[in-house]
Amino acid sequence: MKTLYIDTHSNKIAMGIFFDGVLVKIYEETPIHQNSARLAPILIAVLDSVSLSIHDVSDIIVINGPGSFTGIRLGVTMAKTLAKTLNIPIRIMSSILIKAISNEEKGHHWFVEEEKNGYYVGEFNDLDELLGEYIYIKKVDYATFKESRDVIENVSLNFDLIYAYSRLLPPLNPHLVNPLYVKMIEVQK
Amino acid sequence: MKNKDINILAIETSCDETSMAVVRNGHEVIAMTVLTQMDTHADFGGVVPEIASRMHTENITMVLEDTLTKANMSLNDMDAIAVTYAPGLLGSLLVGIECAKMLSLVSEKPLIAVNHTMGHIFANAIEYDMTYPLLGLIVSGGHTDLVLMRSPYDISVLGKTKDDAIGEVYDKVARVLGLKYPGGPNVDRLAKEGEHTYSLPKPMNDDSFDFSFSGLKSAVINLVHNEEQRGNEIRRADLAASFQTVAVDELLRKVEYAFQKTGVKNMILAGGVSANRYLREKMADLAEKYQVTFHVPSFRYCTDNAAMIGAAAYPLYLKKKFSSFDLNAESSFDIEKYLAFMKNFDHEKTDD
Repeated sequence: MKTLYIDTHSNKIAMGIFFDGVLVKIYEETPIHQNSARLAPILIAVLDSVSLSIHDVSDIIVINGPGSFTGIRLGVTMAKTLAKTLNIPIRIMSSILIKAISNEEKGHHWFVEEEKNGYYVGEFNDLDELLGEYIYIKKVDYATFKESRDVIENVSLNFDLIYAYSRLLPPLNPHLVNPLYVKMIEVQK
Repeated sequence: MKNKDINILAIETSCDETSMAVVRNGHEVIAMTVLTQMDTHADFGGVVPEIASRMHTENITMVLEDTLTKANMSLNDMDAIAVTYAPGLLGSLLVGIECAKMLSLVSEKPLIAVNHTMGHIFANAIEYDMTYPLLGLIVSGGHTDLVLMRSPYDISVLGKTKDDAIGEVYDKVARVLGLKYPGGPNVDRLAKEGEHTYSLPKPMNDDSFDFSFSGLKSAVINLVHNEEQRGNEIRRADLAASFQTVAVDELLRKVEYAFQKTGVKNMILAGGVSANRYLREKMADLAEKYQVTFHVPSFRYCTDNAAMIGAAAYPLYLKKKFSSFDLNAESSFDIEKYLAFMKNFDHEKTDD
């Protein structure tokens, strides 16, 4: 089982490979500019580094947001195109869920994903289940939001736990894999 | 012995159409899918870039599946993957490019970056033999260019717009006339019901091949505002007819001048505005007067579509002009810079 991990939700691109659930490669890069042009070269470099061809990949985990609109759109486009054409399973995980999973002190907590003008937030229980929906809080409102809640801001990702959790998720039809934007765009408000 | 057929899977996502096509040997459209977002954007009076990009991502694999199913072919049957990389909406272009890169990676077939404007020109190759030298008039929301093509790779710009593109002006006039998006076809339809009774200034009344439409645009806007302020009713159909007559006359005048100056006997019309019925009729009449062979794509190949990208990719395939995986999107496009770049390939051996 060779699992491809794609995370393009922030300006730091992360791609990795699990061999039977063990992370054998994680490559992270924060391009100074032209992030989008770097995605395919990074994917190829990651595969090369573990002597795999794209045809050796047996399933995909893609982080579908929330985060950079362009980032998640391109990561998801990559992942669903690969899953469709290679005919392999694809699973989605949110950028906030992977933080909740990685947090070792289980309980009711809020986890956050920061962006330029605000924060995407989600509340999780001790089973790493999302309670309600993700919401977007503007920077000016964030201090008030935090006052009465148990918010965990910094979590180091634990890829063993992320992989284990992903196995509990059903694979999706690639056509139905889409970015999780959370935030509406101006004209739709 | 018959040469091997070259099948190109082409992708076009530069604006609000998600389209893919399989094109054989640069002219035979084996299958094409065009998923338009026009109805969605009509609610906002124009294309909303972020919505366009989101919808491309939602639809891209479905369009791929539909195209390959209609072609009764698989990715492995392709010889190359072609994609529009410029000009257009950045977010939209990037979705098509990322998908194309993955298809190229999986199929192990070369990636070809195609310029959208060249796509509009080569839309003519789908239905007609493009005989060189030829004059091409490219009319769209972003371009009004008159070009002289001596080969698929040797193209010179004779003239271009100094300000607004013709399609942009049609859209602006549509808006002041209260017509819905997409404005161009609605102006064309309304103009049919009216007469050229309003006096509007002739644009760029000189002996160059260049165009200018901002004066005409301002004149229409000012006329509407002045009449509204005076409480006068605007004869919308007459104003649409007057605008269209003056705008198309200007295009024709420059093309006629090019016929006289170059003596070229082949002419093509390209770009989204080439779907304009009045322009097509008038251009055909002018070509007949000068005994010039005139071609314009069918309506389905005038608007954005992937078949034209597959047609434009074919000459690049023959020259092995392939792109690397760090291909990026470009929102704008300098036609002269691009044509100078293309000219490099004119003298290279064609691998066909």
